[in-house]
Amino acid sequence: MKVRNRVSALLAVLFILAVASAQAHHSFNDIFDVGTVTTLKGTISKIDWINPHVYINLDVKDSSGKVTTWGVESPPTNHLRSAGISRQDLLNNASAGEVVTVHVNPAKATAKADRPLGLLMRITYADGHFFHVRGDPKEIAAAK
Amino acid sequence: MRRYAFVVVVAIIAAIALYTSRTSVTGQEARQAATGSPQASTPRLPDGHPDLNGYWYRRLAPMTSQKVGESVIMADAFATLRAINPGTPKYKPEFAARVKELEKNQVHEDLTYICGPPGVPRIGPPQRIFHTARDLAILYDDLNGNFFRVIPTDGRPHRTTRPPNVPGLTDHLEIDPSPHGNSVGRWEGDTLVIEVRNLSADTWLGDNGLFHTENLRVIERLTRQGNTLTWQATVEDPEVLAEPWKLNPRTLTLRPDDEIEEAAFCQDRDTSLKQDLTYHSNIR
Repeated sequence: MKVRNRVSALLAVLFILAVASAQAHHSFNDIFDVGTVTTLKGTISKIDWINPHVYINLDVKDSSGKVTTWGVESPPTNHLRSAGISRQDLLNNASAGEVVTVHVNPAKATAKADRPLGLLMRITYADGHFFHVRGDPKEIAAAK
Repeated sequence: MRRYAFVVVVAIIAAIALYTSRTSVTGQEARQAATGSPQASTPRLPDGHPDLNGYWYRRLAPMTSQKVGESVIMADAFATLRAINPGTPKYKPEFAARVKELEKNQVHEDLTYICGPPGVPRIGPPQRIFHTARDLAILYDDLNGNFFRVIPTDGRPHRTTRPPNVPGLTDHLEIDPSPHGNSVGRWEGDTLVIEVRNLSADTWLGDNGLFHTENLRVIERLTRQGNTLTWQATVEDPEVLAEPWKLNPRTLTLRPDDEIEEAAFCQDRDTSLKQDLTYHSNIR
């Protein structure tokens, strides 16, 4: 009985903490499908170095050769700068047509985006170096 | 039974300790940054007051990013920003429904969503301070743009009017309320106490519908100890608040080798998505 009391008291505490944590939500889940990881390969045509979100414009070619420009929503400029990532670091060799691999959470079908949109998780450059900005690295390893 | 009570007390203490470690960044910000130390001696201006000049680092998140070769693994900035917990103001019961309604419609009602100014105290602690014997200027490279405040500290009162610009015109121009208001500072020992008035009612005190009136008055206290600066704000708006709201203090660290940068242009690109956006962390 005593043990059960102790367990239930601790469970109650854990429940309170879980609720407090769940309340700290933000917008990503409303627009982006954070349960899905999409892998994009393409070239960076432009970077909009703006707040509240930097956008990477990624030109992705499909098998028929048709190019679609994805908007890749990225962290604010000061978050990137504080992590040592400049606009030029993001561009890397974009002017030479470098093909980069970008892992995103795609926008939900319900999001009224005017173009294909993704939330940046990781961008990997041709030489293998990458900037991981969000999410669990395991999810990226599991993505195709 | 006594044993049960003991277990409950221990559990509550553990919960408070856990919660505090999750939500309170006070002191933690200081510990994270190697340069900040309250033990270092506090530099002073020739007039004897603590020298508040400098670039003060106020965020925890990016400091915990890791560099692996040429790669960077960024810390979850939003998780650490959420951990900065300013606390919650207590509204008079008759305004609770309005706060809730505004919170529900935050995306449409909150000016910061369209790159508007955050206002005081939502803009948070100082970022760059220029400090002379007469006044103090605070610069912010905020997510929503560049903002500044000029604060007299030599006994000049709050300005309510400004001289006319038109020759022959004698009437002084009344100064309109503004998001960051009109500030005056005075020293209480080694603490600079700043009183902010004439704040416009179109900003919020924080996320979640925390509206205020034009009678808002904010008292900020800045205390430098060594290479740390503590900012604490108290919000008074007796028309809508049941009691003054004392925000949890924030401790910043001096970054002598760094400098504030011009904020990037703020442009709201989420307009088309807004109908789906319910909440966004705007802690600064």
